[in-house]
Amino acid sequence: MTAGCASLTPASHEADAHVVPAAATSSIVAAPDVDEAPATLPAVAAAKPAPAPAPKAPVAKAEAKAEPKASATGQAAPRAKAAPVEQPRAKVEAKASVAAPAVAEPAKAAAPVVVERKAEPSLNVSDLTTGLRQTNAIGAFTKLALKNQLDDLLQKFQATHQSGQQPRAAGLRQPFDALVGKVTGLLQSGDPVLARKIENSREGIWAILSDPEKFKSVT
Amino acid sequence: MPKLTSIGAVLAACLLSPAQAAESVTLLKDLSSALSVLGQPCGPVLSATRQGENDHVVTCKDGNRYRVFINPQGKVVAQKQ
Repeated sequence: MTAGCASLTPASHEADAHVVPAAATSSIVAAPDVDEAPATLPAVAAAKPAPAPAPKAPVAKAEAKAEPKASATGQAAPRAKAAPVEQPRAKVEAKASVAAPAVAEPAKAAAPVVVERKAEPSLNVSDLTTGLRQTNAIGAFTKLALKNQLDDLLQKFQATHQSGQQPRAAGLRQPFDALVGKVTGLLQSGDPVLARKIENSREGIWAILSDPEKFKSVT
Repeated sequence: MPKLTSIGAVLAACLLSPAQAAESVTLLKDLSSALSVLGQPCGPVLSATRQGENDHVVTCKDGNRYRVFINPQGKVVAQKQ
């Protein structure tokens, strides 16, 4: 209701002649919360391993003071549990409780990375094509603009392969990467699963496009 | 009487369904993304005026205005106004 009012306010101010509701006419105005164009690739950044924990020294200190067995095994959870029992001094206890999450964090961050590598799918071009056609994360104008650019790039690949100058295909790597970057960037917020699929298939797609025989078989 | 008509228009506009409003926001985002893909400086699109089928004149946040349309060859074109 409010969005409707907000989106039509200028039209109603402009002229009294606008009797028909704006949906049927032409003017559309952005609500104040319209987002900026999609940002860069957060998934890529997220996939990177978490940095090593800096405050390792205090942890080791606390462990040494509290219980030598736990530091030898390197397990954080039992140490945190046992610390209040064995340590009468509140100072050491506090150190241990603060340090515990810092040790546990890398273990948590490392686990999803392993799972992701296992789940990495093989290249399925038709699956990606269908996904791109059906996704609602990209609008019709944007999809068509991307398709236009893809067609232009494919023509360049074709021209390169027909001329028989194989090294020139390497010169198309940059526009190829730029186009893949645009697609994944646009999908990032609305369809991160498809964005990740495309990002994972990047090298596979490049292998097809840059090889004259494989290129011929798909076009 | 003209005043009443004007008020009626405003009321009708306010009664725009949320679905229609969402559609409008989606279009603005789409046009904004399309301009970005085409490499045209724009930022978020603030408003779009429909000129015809797949033909809009958009106003960008940075002040630029473009006519965004699909040409007979099926290509999305952004013409600076």
